[in-house]
Amino acid sequence: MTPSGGEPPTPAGPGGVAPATSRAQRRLVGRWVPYALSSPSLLVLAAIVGFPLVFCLVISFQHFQGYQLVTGGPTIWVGFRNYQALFTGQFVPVLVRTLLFVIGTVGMTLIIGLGMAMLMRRAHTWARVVLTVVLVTVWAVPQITAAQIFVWIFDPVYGVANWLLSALHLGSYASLSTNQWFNYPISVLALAGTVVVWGAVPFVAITLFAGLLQIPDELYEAARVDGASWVSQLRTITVPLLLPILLLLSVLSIIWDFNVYNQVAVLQNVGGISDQTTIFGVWAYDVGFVGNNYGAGAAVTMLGVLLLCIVTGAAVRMMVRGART
Amino acid sequence: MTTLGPMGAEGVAAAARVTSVRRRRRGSVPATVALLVIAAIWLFPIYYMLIDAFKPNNDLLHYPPQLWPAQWTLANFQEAFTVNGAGPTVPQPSFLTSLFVSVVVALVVVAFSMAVSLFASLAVARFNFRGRGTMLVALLVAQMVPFASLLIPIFIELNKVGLIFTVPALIIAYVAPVLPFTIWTLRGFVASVPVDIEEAALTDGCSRLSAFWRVIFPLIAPGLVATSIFAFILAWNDYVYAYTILGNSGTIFGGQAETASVWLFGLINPSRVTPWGELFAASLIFTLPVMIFFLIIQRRLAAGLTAGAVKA
Repeated sequence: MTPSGGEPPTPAGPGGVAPATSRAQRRLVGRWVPYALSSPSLLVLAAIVGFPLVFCLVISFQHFQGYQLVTGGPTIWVGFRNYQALFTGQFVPVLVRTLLFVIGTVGMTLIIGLGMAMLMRRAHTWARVVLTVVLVTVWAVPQITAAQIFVWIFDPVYGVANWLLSALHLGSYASLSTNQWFNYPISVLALAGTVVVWGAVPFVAITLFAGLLQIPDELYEAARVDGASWVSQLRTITVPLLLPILLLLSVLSIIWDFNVYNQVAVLQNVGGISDQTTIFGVWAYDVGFVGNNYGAGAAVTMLGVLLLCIVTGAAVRMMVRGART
Repeated sequence: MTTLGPMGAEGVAAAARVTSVRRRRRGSVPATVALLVIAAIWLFPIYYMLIDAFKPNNDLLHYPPQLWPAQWTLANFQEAFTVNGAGPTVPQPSFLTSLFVSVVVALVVVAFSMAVSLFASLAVARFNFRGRGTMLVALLVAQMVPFASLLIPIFIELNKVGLIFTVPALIIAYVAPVLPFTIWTLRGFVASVPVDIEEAALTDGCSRLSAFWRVIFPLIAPGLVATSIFAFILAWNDYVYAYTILGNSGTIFGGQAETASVWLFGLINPSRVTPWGELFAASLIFTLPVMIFFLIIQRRLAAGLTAGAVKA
């Protein structure tokens, strides 16, 4: 694609350029200063991010259960036994469920977010302000509260959802109110996904809109003059120029949605079904804390981190390369 | 859970510039209508929570659902504050206490992480030192570490040092996902302040420290606001850490302590009828301050957030 006017925004590395030590700096401060400035945060990060990660890997190879936590008793090395137990157990169904959940939520979030951003670019300014206010408001709603509102909206007897469906003749109220949304694994996960997407769209839409603002109008005007359709404008201008942002948002969304716990926990608590709706983030918690088996829970966690590394690895490598410069 | 990606401040100015150019173009009517419909759909759950907080119990448990309350009442709010929360048998901490715990935890997380990350961001943005590149990469990688995966090891660690089920433990746990993000974002804001300005202050006889306070600090204040919001929101909204690390067995001022999100979670209990009115009244009190604050700083929030992401 050769844009016929204006310069496309050039993506710069997120790390920026290394600052040249200025003369004033050299004169006024000692060499130890940057180290002194960064050491508190490095110490804290080592203690609460670095060490826990290593520790998690270590106990995933150990027999480490609740009683050892209480008594401080010795942990026993068991090699890959925790992992073996997972693979012969729930691993495959949980993985399939999680992948479908993540693909669905991330896909919907990005599509809706991009759609909103594109509409915001074209709509009247006051309508854009209205949507921004709504998005910011949604953003401020805690996940637990969001999930609880949706539980109430989908309440079998008094919920708005069933009322609306029967009012639109999409189902009879009698059957809707007896077939509860929270009794079927698919509808529970779909509802959890809806809550996740609802809450995740604001950040994505606002970020993408800021990105769209950097694409010069002239590009679209030129495309229109050339008779390019809406779809081909999307394909040749919007998506390629937003690619760095889309990449970043995809990686972040995948990481967030892979580890969803809160929304699913609220819905499981209502419906009382848990086994068939467990996804990775919930599984690690259930095995570790509900099952009191920290070794196995750590193994689930490490599997999750490994999976995320594989899925997002290429994108993260690109960002890290940007940071190094 | 909102740890955010690599960001900086470089894009803000550019975005503002483009906006002013764009304003000249007229909006399209179909896009405006579509946008308003979407806005209405997205707002509906919040609207419903808002009106249901004011409905008397009889009107809540009513079919068809009322999309505009027939009667208004403040009883739900009164109940949220007076009636003890969840659990038919176990006495729970009151909503007010849990709200207080949430506020304290969130504010301390903000204060601590801001102080520590401001220093670190100055180091990586203003100095060229051995290990700077490694530190940047480490921060980026740390941001990619899913917060949820640290729960089990952090829990065991805190248990070992005897802090588990205390408010400080929860604060320490929240700093983990906050710090990489705040350092990274502040770095962008510090880097966007030209070194020349600082040097001019130094030439005019400012000391290094007063140059920082008088020149850099005011310029990066928007960055401090944006990053502290994220620290605050993360601590304010979280549930699973609060439930696991503090639960409701911690204590504050001699009373039981739990955060507001844990208190709210407990209100839905399969063994009894959910007090929806009370739940929404409490949710509203829990959500409204953040909402209002977000709306006030809306413009700055979007800018701070999108700043570097746009250029990433």
